[in-house]
Amino acid sequence: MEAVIALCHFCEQHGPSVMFTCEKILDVFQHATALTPDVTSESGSAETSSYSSSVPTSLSMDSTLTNVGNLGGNLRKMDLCEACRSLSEDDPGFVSYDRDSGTKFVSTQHPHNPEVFRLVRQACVRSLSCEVCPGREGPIMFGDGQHGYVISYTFYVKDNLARGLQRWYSIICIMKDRVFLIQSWPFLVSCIGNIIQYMQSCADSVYKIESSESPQHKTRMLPRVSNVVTPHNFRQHRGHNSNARALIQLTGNPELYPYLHTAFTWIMRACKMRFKEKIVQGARMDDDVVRDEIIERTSRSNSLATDDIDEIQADFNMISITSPCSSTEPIFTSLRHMREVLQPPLFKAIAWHLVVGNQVIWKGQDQDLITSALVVLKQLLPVGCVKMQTRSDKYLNSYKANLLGLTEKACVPSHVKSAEHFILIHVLRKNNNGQKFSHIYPSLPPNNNSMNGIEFRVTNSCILPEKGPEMLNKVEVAIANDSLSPEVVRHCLICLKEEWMNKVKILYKFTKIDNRDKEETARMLQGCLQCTDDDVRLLKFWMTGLSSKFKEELRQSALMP
Amino acid sequence: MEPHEGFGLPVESFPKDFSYHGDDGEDAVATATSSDMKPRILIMGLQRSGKSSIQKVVFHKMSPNETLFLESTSKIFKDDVSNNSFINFQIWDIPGQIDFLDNTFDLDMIFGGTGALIFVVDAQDDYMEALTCLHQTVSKAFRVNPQIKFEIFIHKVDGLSDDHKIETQRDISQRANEELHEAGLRDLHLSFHLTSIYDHSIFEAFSKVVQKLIPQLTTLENLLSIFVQNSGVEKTFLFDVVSKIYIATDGSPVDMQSYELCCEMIDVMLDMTCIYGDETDDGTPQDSTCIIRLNNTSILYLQEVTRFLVLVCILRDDSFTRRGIIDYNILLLKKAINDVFDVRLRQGKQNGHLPIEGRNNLMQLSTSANA
Repeated sequence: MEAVIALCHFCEQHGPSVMFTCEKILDVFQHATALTPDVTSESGSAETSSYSSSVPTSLSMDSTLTNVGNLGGNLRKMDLCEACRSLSEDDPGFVSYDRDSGTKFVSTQHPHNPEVFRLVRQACVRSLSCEVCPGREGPIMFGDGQHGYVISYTFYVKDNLARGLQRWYSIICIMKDRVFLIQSWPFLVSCIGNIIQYMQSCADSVYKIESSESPQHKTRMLPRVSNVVTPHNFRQHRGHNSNARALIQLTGNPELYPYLHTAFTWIMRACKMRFKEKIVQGARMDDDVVRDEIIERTSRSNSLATDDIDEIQADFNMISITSPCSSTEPIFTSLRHMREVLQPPLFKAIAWHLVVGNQVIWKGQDQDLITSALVVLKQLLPVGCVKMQTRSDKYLNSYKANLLGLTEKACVPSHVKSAEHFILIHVLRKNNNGQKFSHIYPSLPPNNNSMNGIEFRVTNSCILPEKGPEMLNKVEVAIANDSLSPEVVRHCLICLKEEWMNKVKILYKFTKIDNRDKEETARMLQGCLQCTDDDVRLLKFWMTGLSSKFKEELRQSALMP
Repeated sequence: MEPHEGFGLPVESFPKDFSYHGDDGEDAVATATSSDMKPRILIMGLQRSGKSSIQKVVFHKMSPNETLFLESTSKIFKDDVSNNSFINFQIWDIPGQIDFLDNTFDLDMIFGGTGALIFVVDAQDDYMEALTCLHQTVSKAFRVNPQIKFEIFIHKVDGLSDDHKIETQRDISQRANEELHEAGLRDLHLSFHLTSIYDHSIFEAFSKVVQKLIPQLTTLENLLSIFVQNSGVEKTFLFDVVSKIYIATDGSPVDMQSYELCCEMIDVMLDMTCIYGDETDDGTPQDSTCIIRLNNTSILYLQEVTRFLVLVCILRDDSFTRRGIIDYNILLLKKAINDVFDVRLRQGKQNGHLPIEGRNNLMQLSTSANA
């Protein structure tokens, strides 16, 4: 059961009773029955209390007929008076199929599933005999997790013969999903209100005719005067003078129940279509956007072979690079590992140079080691800022490769060496391993490390500022904290990168789109973003990594205010 | 009865839950908090037996003819009669179509705080079904709460001849009691009343129901008997003005005609008060008095005890020559009545709390009132 809409009546003789129920049934159940055809033959007896096994309720039209016949025996024994009955005994009800969504809408006097019937019955009693609606006519909502949530719209229908000249009805809508029901309140209430208005206007016209022909006042008043009780007529029998009348009679509309079926069906269907459930993912991460752009660019240019694209894609995934280079060769597996091997001061120097946009050059013979080092370091930067060249025989410019791996043959030109914007790590393999190394790095466990015998010689003429970019400091803290698992560190990095990319976006918008002057920019950076000079360097470098889509969007929005 | 300092301030000296108060805020709060412990009267019975009509006629002054056009009751109708009346009860009118004995309903909640259960049987109809229902209801309610007083109203007897009334009552009571006997419920006592909303029988029956729930009843009756003996008065009633239910009367048997006379006298007085009386409805006594001479040498003499209680006496013409004595006795009687209800209040204060649990409190106070 997804939703049930039912018409209920407070019968003068039997109290609250369910008159007409329209159920929405998923066709999934029908498929289930199709697989087990045996069920059809004994549908009536196969019903059990749990809903999942109560498949027979959703049989196709033919079997519904038999179903009604079987189950009806039990139900119809309860004497349903004219007023409580909607469909005659041999009327199986109505079924509508919704082929698009694979659902079915079944209307009957009572729901066939005992579990659903219990819910509807409970809601009916509550709607008519327990819950108080201010003004008596109108919508209310009640319910709980166990019995479902209900919007109940109570109303009167005029009847010349009824006590108080009116009868008491309600249309209830039962759902298990509270939030959905509340969201649908305005829609449901207005729709149900319209149905009620239609029924009431029908009944009003009938009432007008009847009351002018035989006003109740007279017929009711007269017997009291003339009706002197004698021993003969003393015992009247209850029910003989029953004034119960069917709703069809009250409204003078023989097509009332087909109308109600279509109306209820439409409401349930439309109600479902008003809302679509969607899992909200949040905005895409910048790295993903940029990565897609790069891949698209490369594939469009077609200058690269498909292998290269694969390589690029593989490049983004660090594990695919590192895993093939298994145990034999020494490699860096993670930032934390690198920090341990190189020791924190050196690691910090490398990282600093990297994030503020300087060139990081690794030179040596151990190709795998250098590649792994570059790939690990790459994680510190947003994807758009990475220009990596893992193996080159000659020096490349910083704007071509800010992560550069050089072979022994290559040499760094002197004009580069004289500048400060690079850090060179020369990887040297020493044959006499062991003693000396462990003497220098006593903290490292001797056997666990494959880096023994490798020396890292650093060439760098720049003096590091005492307090680096905040982003880098935070990364360090995260890496240094051993209690954090690698996965947490990874997420931490992602978050930090996102955070600083957002600041980059602000800066970009401020300087490039709005064209503010330097003074204002500085004020904004210091006042709002609380950036130090180092941070600003980082921001300016990272600006090169912004996605072109973002830039385009900003430019568009600036053009069209 | 000792005079004491509380006298003269009747508004304060009356117990909270026999609310005798004006509409000042403090009392409103007190009644709001104590509203749950009001003795409750349930009216049950099959559909169309006249439950709502009884409730409307007795407590809402609906004319009996209008009740024909009442629609069927679909919800439990809780009527608080405490606000404008001396008696402080909740009347629950329960729709006959719904089976409240079903397990889905909280029987403890329904019958727990109930003082009396009125079961209405339509005497103009085939009452066999009603008797079955009566038996089920009564036995179930008795099991939940044995303190409930069971009152059977054999209703709509206005259409029956006198012989028939007696016959019907005998038949119904015999059948009902037999069934209870068979079920082994011997401690369960049923009282039967013949009622109709077209005469005063419904008021009389309701009076008897209410009287059973007033713990001070015996004391009040004794007081009235003493008063009658010493004043040469034939009959006297203590009436709740609004509902025309009599709270107590003297020991002599109640004659239906004299009760009706008194009711009508109160109607006259009420009408006069409504039209010409002081409009401020603050609950202070107005010292209303009313004397009506009848053509059969009887005199109806009405004196206000409090805003909600009046004393009505029926006496002979010649006894009224000693009016001074009668007035003096009435003065003493008023004091005594005030004392009776004041005992309750003091009891509550000594205990350091206002009474919380209705029934216990009633019992407690009845003993103190007797002492």
